Amino acid sequence: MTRTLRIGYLPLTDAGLLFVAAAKGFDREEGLAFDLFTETSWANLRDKLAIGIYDAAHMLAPAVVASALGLEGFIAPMIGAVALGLDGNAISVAPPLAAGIRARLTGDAADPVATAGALAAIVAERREKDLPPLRFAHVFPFSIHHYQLRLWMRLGNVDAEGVRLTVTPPPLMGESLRGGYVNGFCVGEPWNSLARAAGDAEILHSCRVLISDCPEKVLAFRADSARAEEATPRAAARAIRRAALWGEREENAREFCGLIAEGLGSGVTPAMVAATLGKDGESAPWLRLDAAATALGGIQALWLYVLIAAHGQAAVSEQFSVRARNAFLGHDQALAPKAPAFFDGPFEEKTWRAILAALSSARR
Amino acid sequence: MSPLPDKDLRIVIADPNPLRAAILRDGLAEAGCAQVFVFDSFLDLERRLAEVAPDIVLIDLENPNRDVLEQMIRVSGAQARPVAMFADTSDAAMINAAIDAGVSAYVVDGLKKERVKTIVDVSISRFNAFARLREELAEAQNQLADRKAIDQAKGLVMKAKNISEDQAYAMMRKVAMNEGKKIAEIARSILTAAELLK
Repeated sequence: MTRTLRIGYLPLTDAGLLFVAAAKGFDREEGLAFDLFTETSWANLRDKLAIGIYDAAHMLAPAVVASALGLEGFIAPMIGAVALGLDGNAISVAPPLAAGIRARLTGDAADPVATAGALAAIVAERREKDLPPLRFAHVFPFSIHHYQLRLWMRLGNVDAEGVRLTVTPPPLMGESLRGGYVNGFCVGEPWNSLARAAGDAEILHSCRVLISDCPEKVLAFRADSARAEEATPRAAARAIRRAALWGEREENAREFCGLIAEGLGSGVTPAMVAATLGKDGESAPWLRLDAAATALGGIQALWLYVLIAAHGQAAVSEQFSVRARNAFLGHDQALAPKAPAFFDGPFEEKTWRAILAALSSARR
Repeated sequence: MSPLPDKDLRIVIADPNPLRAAILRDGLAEAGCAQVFVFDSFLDLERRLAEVAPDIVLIDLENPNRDVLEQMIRVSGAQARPVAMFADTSDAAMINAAIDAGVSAYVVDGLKKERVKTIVDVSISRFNAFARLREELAEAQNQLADRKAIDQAKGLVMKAKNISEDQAYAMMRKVAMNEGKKIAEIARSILTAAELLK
């Protein structure tokens, strides 16, 4: 018997595996029918999942961990069943700021330490002249985008008082830049490419140059329903993994990118998707949608908790670290993913406190 | 039960739609809320929220700026929580009605549930009233457009067949009945055909 799953998503390239699984029937092969609904905000996805309008949702990985910790704003704990990819964000700035950064570069423009150093110089000059702080947008308080912006700025010792961080919905990023309401942003695809195509933004860095293999979005379920009946989230996870495996095959690359572009609509071309995924034969991938990128494990959830706590959004406690670890449904050992490295060293379960302390002390 | 003293509650309506915001404000005024502030733009929201220090913020559920509000509320230090938080108590019906109507409310911690309920109930009924109004408006516009198409087609038929207005109308109505269509659809077909044959 086929079970229908109502799934909400935001129009982002990393919702792609959902489109592919539904279009190619991988959901049905697992006894499920994905019924996909486009949404307008992470808050809507969170609330509609919590009250049962959706069975599952495309969700920011840190938001799932925050909900498992019972942090402010979450009514019901969520659980991540499968990763919908790794990485995918980029930092873009308005053309005048890009020119300012270039003018002050003392290193390679591809090196985030160099660009952040140039940004620090601009921020310092502005403070001297009593100009208002620069504004950078991310997408949600609990988002990798938020932490990536802060991590980048820290590389150049940017004065935190000289920059304001704000939230802007991804479809409005380009317009906000053009209108001068923000000077830069960190957002997922296709919104960097679309803003660049419209002449509103220059893309500075794919966030993979900051940290690679970041858990970014997951397919989230309500924790209570997932725990009561694990078969459904596990079947959904298998359907997603099948879609990713299918997409890995070279002969399917064209159709894979085509299905994702079609799912997104609004001016997104298959070539844009191919470039993001590094399937165009020239670009380095920004976003990983391969099968290994769908694995999800407790170590990643712990890594996310460290980020959340390092940015002052949660208390540091043993109890929280245990709760965080259970925010993702575990998988076979063979699929167990690694957490991204901080400070060039591997992230390990036993060293989380030391890494958190290092991250926090470096925070300005 | 005596009416709740809500006139001291500070309410922000964050809605770029002026008509809906006005309908909602009137509804809240009738319910005795005197301190209602309408924000029609999300620019500079942080500063304006801090100035007003609202007890409740009402926003259209489908407005993508909900995520902006989530951040602003955190930054401005107002401990406001989305209305879905009330689902943990008992009133799932209220939550569902709010979702159906498309209204989302952020409520400052510690506010009594009954007081919030009054506000949310008013908002739901006003959001629904706005939706009905919009439907009626769309319906009226459609009727007007139909009327115009029928008149134009009638003119063409009168001229082509050299018949009276009543005869032309009767003819079009007969075709519509035979084909099981609306007379406005037939009129549009005539206009399209006339355009092609020009």
